[in-house]
Amino acid sequence: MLTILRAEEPSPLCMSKPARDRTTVFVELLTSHQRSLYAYICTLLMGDAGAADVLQDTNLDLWARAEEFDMERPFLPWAFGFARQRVLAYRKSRSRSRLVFGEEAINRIEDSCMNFAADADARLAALQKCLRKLDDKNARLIQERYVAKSSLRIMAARLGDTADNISLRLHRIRKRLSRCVQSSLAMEDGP
Amino acid sequence: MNDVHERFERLLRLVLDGSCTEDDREDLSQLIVEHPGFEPELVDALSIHSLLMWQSDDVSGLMLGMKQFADENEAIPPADAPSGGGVWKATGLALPWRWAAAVFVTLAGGLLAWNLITPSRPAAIAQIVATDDVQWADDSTALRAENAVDAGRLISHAGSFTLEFRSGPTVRFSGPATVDIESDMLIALQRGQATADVPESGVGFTIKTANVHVIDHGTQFGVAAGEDGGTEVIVFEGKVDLENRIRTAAPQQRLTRGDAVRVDATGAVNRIMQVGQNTDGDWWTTAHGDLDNTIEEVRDNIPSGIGTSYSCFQIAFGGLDDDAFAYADHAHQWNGLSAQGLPAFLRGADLVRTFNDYRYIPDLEMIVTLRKPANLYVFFDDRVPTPDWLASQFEDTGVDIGLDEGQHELTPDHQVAVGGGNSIDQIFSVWSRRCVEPTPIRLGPVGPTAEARAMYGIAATPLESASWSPDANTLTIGGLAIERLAIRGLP
Repeated sequence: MLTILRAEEPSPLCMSKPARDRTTVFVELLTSHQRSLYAYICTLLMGDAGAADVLQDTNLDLWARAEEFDMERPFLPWAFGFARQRVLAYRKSRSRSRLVFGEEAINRIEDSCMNFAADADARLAALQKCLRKLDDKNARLIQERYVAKSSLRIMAARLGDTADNISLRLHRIRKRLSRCVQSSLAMEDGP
Repeated sequence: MNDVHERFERLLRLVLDGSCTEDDREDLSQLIVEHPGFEPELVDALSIHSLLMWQSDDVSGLMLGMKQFADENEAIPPADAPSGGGVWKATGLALPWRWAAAVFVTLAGGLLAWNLITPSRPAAIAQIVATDDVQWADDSTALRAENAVDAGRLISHAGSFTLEFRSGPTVRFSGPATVDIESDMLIALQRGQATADVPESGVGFTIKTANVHVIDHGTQFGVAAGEDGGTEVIVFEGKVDLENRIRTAAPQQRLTRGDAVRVDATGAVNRIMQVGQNTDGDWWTTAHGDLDNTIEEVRDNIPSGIGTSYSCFQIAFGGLDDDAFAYADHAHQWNGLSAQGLPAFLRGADLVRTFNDYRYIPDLEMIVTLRKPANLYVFFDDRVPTPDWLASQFEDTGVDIGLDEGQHELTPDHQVAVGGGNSIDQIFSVWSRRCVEPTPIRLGPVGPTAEARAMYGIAATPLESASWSPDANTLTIGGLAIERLAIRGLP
C-alpha cells in the first residue's frame, strides 16, 4: 500500500526554496549513483543473487540518514559505508555458523571494489560498446546467460556441448570484455 | 601454484555461473585471503559480471523506481530544522516528520514496497469477498462484522473463502483451513491450502508455515500446510523467495513460474513433479487419487537438486481452450489458427503444461499415465523433423493449431492476443493415439537438431463410454465388460 507524505504547510523554520534544493540535490545524488552502489555491493557479495535486495536496504538507510550528509563532501564514500554494513549484515544472516564469514576477504578486496564502482557509469558505457563487437555466437551466449537467465544445463543441451565447456566459453568472453572495457577507458583518458 | 590457480579459476566460474554452493563461496573467500595475488583477477571478473547483471531487467528496474520516488517525494527537511520541526501529512493526519515513513515504489522486478507506521488503522486488515459453503469454527477470533477480518485466527471446517487484503493481495483458502492473520502483509498458514494473487502494490506479502516463509515478488502462488508439518509451494506466475525456517543456514531460494517444492518437517526440499488445477485455477492438488480426470500422472527423467530444477508439470483438468497457457514456465498460449478457435474435439481436454525450457534436452523422456481409456494428443512444432518415437506411436491427424508467443526475456516485445487466429507465431501439428490399455506412454525429446523450436504439448480426452475397473483388469466399453487377457489378444 502506498502512502504519500507531503508537507502540510511550511513551518516558519522550514525554508521553502532552500529546503527543496537540498531535497532535490540529495535525491539526484542517490539516483545518479545507483549503478556505482550496485556494482560495489554485487562485487563484495561475489555475485550473490541478493545484491539487489541489499541495494534496496542500503537506499533505505541512506534516505533515513539523509539529514546527516554533508553536501560539501563526495557522496559515494559516505554511501559505500552504509552499503558495506548492509553487505556484512546480509552475509551474517546467511552464515552457517552464524558468525560473520568472508569479512577478511571483503576487507581485502574492498578498496579495489570502491575504485571500480566509482566509475561504473563509464565502464557500463564502454561495456555496451564492447558487447557490440562480439561475434553473433558469443553475443548470443551472453544474452542467454544474462538476459534470458538460462541455466548452463539448458544452454549446453541446446548447443550439444557440456555445461563445463559452456562455463569456460563464458569465462573467456568475460575476460575479453574486461580487456575491451579497460582499453576503451584508457583511450578516453588519453595519453 | 598452478593447481591453486586452477582451483581459484574453477571456483570463480562456479560463482559467476550461479551454480556454486555456500561451501564453494567460502572456499573462494579463503583463497583470496591466502593468495592476495588473485585479487585483481577476482575483482575484474566480478566487476564485469556485475555490469552484465545490471543490464538485466531485475536490477535496472531500480532506476525506474528511484525516478518515481524522486518525482513524488518532498520528504526531507533541511539539515538545520529543529528536531520535531516540519509538519507532514499522511492520508489526512498530521505527523511529526521524524515519525513519517519513507516509501519506495518499484515499477519492475521483484523488489519490496514498504509502508511504515501510521498512527491509526481505521480499515480492517482484510475483507471476505467470497465464500462457498464455508463452515466457521466458533473460535475464529479474526472475524468481524460485515465480512471484515482483523488480526487473529480464522478456522474453517469445510468449504472455501477468499480474503482481499487492504495491501492488495487476494488469497483463496480451500478446504479445512486454519490461518493466523498477523498483518495485511503476513499470514501464518497452520493447515490447509491457500492460493494468493498478489499485485505489485502487495509485493513482499508473506505466507509462513511451520517450516517456511514464502515471500512474494509479484505473482500468483499456492501454499499448502499439511498435518505432517510439511509444506507445498507452487508458483503459477511470477516468483517467490523461499526461506527455510528449519534449516536456517540454507540460503534463501528463488522459485519462479513453473516451480514447485515440498518442504518436509525436517526442512528437506524436494521437487513436486505435478500439480492438477481446476478450470478456474482457484483449486489445485498434488494428490493423484480420488479424481475423475483423464491424465493421472506425468513424469520426466530430469534430476532435481540444488541449483537445477524444481520444474512442476501443471495438469489443467478440462482446461484446453483458446488462450490456455501452453507451458508452466512461459506465457505462450495455444490457439486455433482461425477465428473459429481450437477444433471442437480438443476443447475441454486435460492439458499438460510442459516446460518450454525442455525443448533442447537431447535425452528427455516423459511418461504419461492415463486414468481411463483416452485419446492422447501431442502438439508438435512444424519447424522440427518428426522424431521416431512420435511417428511410431501416434498418427498425424492433419489438424494444425497455433502457438501465440508471450513475452520472454529473448522476445520482450511479444504480447499475446485474445482468441483464435490472432497473433499466431508458430504452427503445431496435432498427433493422436487411441489408448485403450492402461500402459503408460513414453514420449521422447523434441530432436537432436539445432533449429529453433518450442516444446511439444500434451492433452487427452476420455474415450466415449469406456472405463477400466479399479484394478485395471476389466475394460468396459458401451456396457460390454472385457477381461484383460481378451484385450491383449492372449489365449
